[in-house]
Amino acid sequence: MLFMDVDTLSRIQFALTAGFHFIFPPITIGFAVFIVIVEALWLKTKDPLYRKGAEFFLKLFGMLFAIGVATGIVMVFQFGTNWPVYSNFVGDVFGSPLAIEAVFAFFMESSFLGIALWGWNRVGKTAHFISTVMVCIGAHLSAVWIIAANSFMQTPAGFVLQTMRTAPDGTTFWETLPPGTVPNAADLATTKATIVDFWDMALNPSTIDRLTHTLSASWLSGAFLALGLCGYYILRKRKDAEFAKPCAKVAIIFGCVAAISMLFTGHDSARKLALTQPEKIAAFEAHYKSDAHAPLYLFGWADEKTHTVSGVAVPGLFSILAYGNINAVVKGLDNLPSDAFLKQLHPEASPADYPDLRPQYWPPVNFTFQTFRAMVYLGAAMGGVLALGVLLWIFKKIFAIDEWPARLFWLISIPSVLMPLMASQLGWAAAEVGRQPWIVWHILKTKDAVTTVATPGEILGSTILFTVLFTVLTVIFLYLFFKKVRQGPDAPHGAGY
Amino acid sequence: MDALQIIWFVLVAVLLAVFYLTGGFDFGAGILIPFSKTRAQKDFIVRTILPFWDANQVWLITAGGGLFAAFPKAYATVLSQLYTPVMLLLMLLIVRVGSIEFYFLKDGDKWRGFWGWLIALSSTLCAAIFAVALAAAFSGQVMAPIVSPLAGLLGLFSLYGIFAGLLGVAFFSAHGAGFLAIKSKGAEFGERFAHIARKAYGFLPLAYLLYLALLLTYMNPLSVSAGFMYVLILLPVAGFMAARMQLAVRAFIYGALFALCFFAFHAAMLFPYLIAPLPPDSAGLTIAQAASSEMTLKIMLGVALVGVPLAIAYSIYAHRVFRRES
Repeated sequence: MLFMDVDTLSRIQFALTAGFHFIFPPITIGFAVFIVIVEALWLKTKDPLYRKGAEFFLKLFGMLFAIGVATGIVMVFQFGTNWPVYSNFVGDVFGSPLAIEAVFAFFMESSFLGIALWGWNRVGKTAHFISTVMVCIGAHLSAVWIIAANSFMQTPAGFVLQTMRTAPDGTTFWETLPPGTVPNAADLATTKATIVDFWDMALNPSTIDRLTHTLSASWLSGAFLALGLCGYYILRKRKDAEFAKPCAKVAIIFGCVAAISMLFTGHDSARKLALTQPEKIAAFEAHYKSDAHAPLYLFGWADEKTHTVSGVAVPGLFSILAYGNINAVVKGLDNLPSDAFLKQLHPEASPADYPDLRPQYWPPVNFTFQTFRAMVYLGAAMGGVLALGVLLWIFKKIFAIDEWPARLFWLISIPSVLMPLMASQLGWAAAEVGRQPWIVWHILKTKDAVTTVATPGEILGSTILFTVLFTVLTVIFLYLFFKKVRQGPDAPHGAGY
Repeated sequence: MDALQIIWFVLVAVLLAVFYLTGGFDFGAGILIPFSKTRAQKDFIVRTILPFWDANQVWLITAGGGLFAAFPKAYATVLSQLYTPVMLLLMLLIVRVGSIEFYFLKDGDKWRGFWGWLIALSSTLCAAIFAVALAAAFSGQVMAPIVSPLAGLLGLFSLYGIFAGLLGVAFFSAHGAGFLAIKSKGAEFGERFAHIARKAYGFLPLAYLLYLALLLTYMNPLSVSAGFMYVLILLPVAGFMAARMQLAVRAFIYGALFALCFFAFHAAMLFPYLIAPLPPDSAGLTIAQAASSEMTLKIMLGVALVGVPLAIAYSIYAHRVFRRES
């Protein structure tokens, strides 16, 4: 194992810690919206069922949130521990959204969650509702700033590169480099990104598409968790959880809204990719040759050696989806990155060498091809589950669980909780692996950004410990979460508030 | 060096100090779990910190984010050089949050005894490692070349580092004891927590004296404002006296003032450096060398001026809501 270098190990560690953390925020963001709706319905209808539902769902929310917080604290520090070259290089630009997230989002979320969880008898109805809303807003704000920061890595904007020069009199000063410069690895210690326009950075070309896409995924996660929980109580005909039926209706409507939003934002994100990160979308589709009528593979296997895909394709569909025009030429990896970009990076090379130089600037093709497809199909499956629910609802059979259609629907709803979570992980993996070999798109390579201090042994050791820790945490968490769900809303609440 | 850079130097110190003042009481309360006698007392401790630990921890995240945004070079240097201790700290923080979360989710002496014990252990180790790491950054140890991971880790535990860790644990315990004494006043086991507070506040002046002795030996090259550091002993002593007289609120305030002054004096000693040039061959890292551009510092100052008062307002509101048992 020690054959692995610091770079590979640091990537594994980041994927592990960020991936595990990223299970929780999407659920809590979406679940928070659901709880706000349920509590609003209580205030509006005064139906105590909604009150009971909101209180119980908040308890489950609190458990999920705590694991998100516990694993999230690693995030703000591991840029420094494992990626100090990156941190030093982009800190002027990238540090602010992280700090803003803490100041504006985390304080709001954490302070009001305590009141929402344990303050039912300490504050009035309206104050409690406002607390729940604040938790929900805080969760969304945190998504805004972390997606802004991550989108800067995908489509950097609002900054200039500066390099340190020494004047004849011995003083040093920062000289601004022309736009589009890609600094050499050797110059990274004396080169940095400096902000020139904060809003251009925060609202860089991909922020809005990626934010709405991620939030849609989060809402789906929340809606499906709610649906699965309600499904469990409905199937069990639990008398203590009669809120399950009205809340399940809320979950179906919320899920449909999220799914429709997903349809548009997913499509927009992909179209934006074609413009801003053509290598990435070409890798998603394993599209090597630039041509019009570009095909879209329904499924297949990309051979990265021969640059071919074996599978079932719909001719022209990729051109239509990416550019809305079947005759549009979609650039393939064989022409990416552009000649001009290669000329800048390899001034000594002749154009005849470019085909051999290109592959080092491609992400892993088959991996992104498969993860992207899996995400899309999971999305379609979620749409299918929701459609079935709506259909049953229309025919007034949704709660007729003694008949097989409703019974089947609710049985499916329980494992379906996992679908949006898996889709989020796969989509995130496709997005981040698809950015490779860059940590900041077309500016800084991941392998040049890694630590020069920690040894492979140290990183391997901490990665193993994190794996053990997360495994133990997951086992205990799931045991307690299922126990809480099984016991239902009437179980005594230990904290005694 | 311009004014904005100095303001941010002060702000980072303030954020760290505020983490000590807020996180201090929940970590400290955790450390004291083994000193409580009954299940009811242990439950009381965990229940008292339950609504607050999360927001308190956000001050640490904010300090980290603030350091990243305002002084990227210091953030990158300190964290990468302290790789293993920081990783240990992060894992212990995860263990601690998990333990606090799991504590009440099941009844039974075994279950709560186990998680209570784990809260205490992780809180103590976090307090110690955090102070040791800060001491390594403060003393410039962090810039020393690392020969091997083990030597790098052991290098942190110089005598100075060890006594800084001890002081960190002592302060957290006293602060936590003060908080619990305030919260339990008039409750059936109020007397027990007042007793713990007397003990904990008694240790604080001792730990500080030991730390001061090492600081003055070790940090001679820096112009230590030694006079102030001697006078500072009055605050923990006053805290101890107040705890003896069962004036929990006063003891808590004296302890908090002590931490604030402590951070202020250390920041003053460090100025104009972020990392002192203490070990031989070390150039240290100055504020100006590490600082972000003027625009970033300005944006972040705006964020801090709006966001920090909001955070304090949320926190005051939450404390008011949970002021009394209902």
